[in-house]
Amino acid sequence: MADDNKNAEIPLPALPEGIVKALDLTLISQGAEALVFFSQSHPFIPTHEAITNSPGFSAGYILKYRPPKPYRHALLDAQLTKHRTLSEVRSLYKLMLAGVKVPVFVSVDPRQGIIWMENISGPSLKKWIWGNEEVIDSQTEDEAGRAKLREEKIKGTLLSVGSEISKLHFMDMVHGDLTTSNLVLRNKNEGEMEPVIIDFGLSSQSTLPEDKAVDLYVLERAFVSTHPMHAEEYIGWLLEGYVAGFGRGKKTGVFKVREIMKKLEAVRLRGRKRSMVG
Amino acid sequence: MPSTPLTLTLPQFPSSPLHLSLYTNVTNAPTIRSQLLSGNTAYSYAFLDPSTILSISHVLAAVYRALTEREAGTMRTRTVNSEIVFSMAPSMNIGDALKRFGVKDESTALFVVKVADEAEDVVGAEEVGVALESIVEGESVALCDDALQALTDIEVVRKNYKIPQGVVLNDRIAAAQIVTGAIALRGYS
Amino acid sequence: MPSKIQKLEPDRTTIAIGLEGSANKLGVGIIRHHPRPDKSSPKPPAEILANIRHTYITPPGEGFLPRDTAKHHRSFVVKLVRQALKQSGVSIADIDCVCFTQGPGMGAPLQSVAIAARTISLMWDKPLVGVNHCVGHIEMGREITGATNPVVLYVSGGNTQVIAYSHQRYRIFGETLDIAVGNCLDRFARTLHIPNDPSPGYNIEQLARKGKHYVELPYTVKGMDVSMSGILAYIDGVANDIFGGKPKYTDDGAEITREDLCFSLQETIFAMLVEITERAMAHVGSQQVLIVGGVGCNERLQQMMGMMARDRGGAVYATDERFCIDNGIMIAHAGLLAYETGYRTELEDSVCTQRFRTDEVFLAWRDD
Repeated sequence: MADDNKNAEIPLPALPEGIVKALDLTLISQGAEALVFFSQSHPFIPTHEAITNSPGFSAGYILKYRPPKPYRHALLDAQLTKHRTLSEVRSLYKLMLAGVKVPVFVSVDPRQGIIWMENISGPSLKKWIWGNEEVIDSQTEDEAGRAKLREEKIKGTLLSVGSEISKLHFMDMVHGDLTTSNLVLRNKNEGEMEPVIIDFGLSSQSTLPEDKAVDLYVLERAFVSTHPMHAEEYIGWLLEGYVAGFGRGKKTGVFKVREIMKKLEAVRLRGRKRSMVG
Repeated sequence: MPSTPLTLTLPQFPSSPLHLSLYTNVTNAPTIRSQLLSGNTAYSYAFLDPSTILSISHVLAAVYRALTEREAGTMRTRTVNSEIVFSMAPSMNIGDALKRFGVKDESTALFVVKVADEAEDVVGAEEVGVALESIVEGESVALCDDALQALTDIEVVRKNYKIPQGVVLNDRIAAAQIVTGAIALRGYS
Repeated sequence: MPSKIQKLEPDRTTIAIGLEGSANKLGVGIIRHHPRPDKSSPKPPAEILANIRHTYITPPGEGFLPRDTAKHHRSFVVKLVRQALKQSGVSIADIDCVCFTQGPGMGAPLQSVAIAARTISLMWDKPLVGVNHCVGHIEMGREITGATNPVVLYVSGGNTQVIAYSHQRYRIFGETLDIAVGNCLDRFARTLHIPNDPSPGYNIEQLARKGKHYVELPYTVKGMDVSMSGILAYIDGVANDIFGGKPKYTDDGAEITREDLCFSLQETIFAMLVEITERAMAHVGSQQVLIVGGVGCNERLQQMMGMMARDRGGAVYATDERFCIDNGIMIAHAGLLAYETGYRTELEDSVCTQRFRTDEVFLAWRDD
C-alpha cells in the first residue's frame, strides 16, 4: 500500500524560477515540510583555478526548500517559513562553531524558505548496521561468534555516535527527530567513519533534561523498529558513548547526564505520550 | 597596458558576471574615498579593503547576499556596490560596515568588484581594466586566493566577525565557513 | 484467497443497537450489516435504520458539567431507544447485540448510558459489546466515505489525535499535549459569550467567516504533537482586553473585532492540525485523510485539509454532522464489526473507563 502511493505522481511545489534555470537540481526527498534537492554546484562559488581557499565540498550540495503551504493563511505561512528556516540554520551554525559534526551550512534565504548546505555522503546508520549485520551473519552461524563480531565491527561506531549526540545535548540543543536515518556515517580516511548528525528541521534550544531524554527515547524507538534483533545491545553501546561524552564536560556534564538518564527511565515507562483523559 | 580583471559568475546568477581586480601599493585611497562619498558615477564599483578579506569565496558570499537582496527588492543601501560592502559585515550597521570593509584613507591595497549585468552596467572585463587604471593609482596584481592571503590581517577578521580566540583561523577553509555563515545570517540572529 | 476475517463473518444479516453518551450528546442508533454475496466480494454497505441524537445545551458562557449531563442522558435514554426502535422498524427479536460507549469520555455521562445498555441487554437477553468511542468514529467514517486506509484526524471536544492503521491497531501518531481542539473552541466561545446552540464550535465558524484580519497567535507544533492551552490563554487575554474597553488594532490601523479573533483562532489551530496530519501522511505513505469528530464538521478545516491533500496527490474524506458529531450509529457499527468476529463484553467487564486509548483496541475485523 505504502509503496504504491509513493510511486504516484505528486506535482512538486515550484522553486523560485531563477534557481531552477541556473542550477542543475535533482529532487532527492519530499517530506511533509520540505523538499530536498541535490546540486553538484555550489550556489555562489564557481570552479576556478584562482579559487583555492574556498569551502568546497566534493560530495556536492543540498538545497532544502520549504514551499509555501496554500492551506495556511499567507501571513502565518510567511512567518512560519521564515522562523523555521532560520531556526534550522542557526542550529547548524552554532553546532558547527562548537565543532559538532553537522552539515556545514552555505547560505540561507529565509523569505523563500531556502537553505543551502553541504551534502554528507555516506550510509545512514540504519543502512550501515544492516550491511554489517549481513556480513556478520554470513561469516558465522554461531551466535556467540556473531556477538563477538558485532562488538568488533559495530560497537566502536555506536560509541562515537553516542558521543556526538552528547555534544549536541551538552550545548542544550535538542534534535527533535533523532532516528537512525538522521545519523550519517561519513568516510573520514582509510575506512575510518565519523558520524554526522543531519536534519535539524525540528531542532530547538532546551535546558530541560526531559527534552533530551525524549530525543534519546525517539532514537531508541527507531532502533527497536529498524534493528529489532539487537536493539538493546546497540542502544547500550550508544548510551555508553553518550554518558562518556558528557563525562568530558567535567562536573556539569556528569550532573547533566545523570538527570537526563533519570528522565529517560521515566519516559521509557510512560512512553512519549501522557495518558489521555476522554 | 592595463591589466584585465578576473571574471567570475556565481552559479546561481549566470547573467550577472563579476569583474574582480586586486591592487597593491595604492597611493590615492583618500581620493577614491572622497569621490565615492560625493557620488561620482564613474566610481560605481565596490571597493573593499583586502586586509578584511580571507579569500575570493569570502567576497563572493557578500556578492551573493547583495544580489539576492537586489532580486527580492530588499537592499538596505542605495546601490549594489555599497550593498556588497555592507554585505561583508555580520551586523546591520551600514555606516560601521562601510568603515570596516570599504576603502579607508590609509588603505594601500584594494579589492574591486564590478557587477556587469543589465541592472547595472553591461561592460566587458577589458573596459573595466581600462577604467580602473585611471581610477586606482597602484599596482595591479593577478587575483587569486594566494595573493589575497598575503594581504589578510587575520586579527582584523577575527575582530570584525567577533570570532572567539578559542577558534583557530589558521585553516582558511574552516575560517571561510565561519565568515560566510556570518554573512548569510546577518540581520537574522 | 479469503482472509481469516471473512471466515469469521456470519453468513446472515446482523443488527445492532448502539448507545452513545460520552459527552453532552446522547445518541441511539440501529444498524444492519449484510453478508458478502460470495467470499471474494467486498462487504456490502451497512444500512442505517435509525440514528437519533439529543444534545444537552447549556446557556451561553457555561460549559456542561458531568452531573447535569448524566442527568440529561438518564432522562432521555428510554425515549430515544423507543424512538429508534420505532423508526428502524425492527423488532427486539431481530437485534443481535447491544453496543455502548465504554470510553473515553466523561465518567458520569458514560456510566448513565452504560447502565441503560446493561439494562436492555438483560431485559432483551442480548449480548453486550463495549466500544471505544474513537474507534467508533473511525469505523463509521470509513464506512460512510469509503476511504480504505486513511490517516485519520480525530477532532472533538475531548480528543485531538492523528491516527494511522498498522497491524490491527489504530496507532496514535500525534495528539494534543494539553487540551483538545473542540475544548479550545468551546472555551473561547464561553469567553465571547457566544451561544451554545446548536454548538459553540458552529457559532465560532459562522463568526470566523466574517473575520478579515489575521491576528498573530502562538503556533505550537512539537514534532507530531500540538499544544493549544497557550494559544487559548493568549487569545482569551486579547478578547478580554478588547471587551474590557481596550481596543486593539492591526498593523494597518483596523480595529480588531471578535470575528477577526474567531477567524485567527481557526486559521492558527487548523493549520497546526493540517500540519501534523501531513507529517503522518508522509510518514506512512498514505494519500487519504479522513476527518472525524465534531470539529470535523467545520468547513474551513475540511477546505484546508483538502488543499493539503491535493498537493500530495490525494483527497480528504469527511462526513456531515449526522456522523461527525457524536452519535449512536457509529457505536452500533463498530460494535457490530467486533461482534461479528466473536467479541462480547461480559457484564462484569462492562465498567466504563474515562481513559481508554485508541491503540488499546485490537481490531480483529481488519487484517490489511
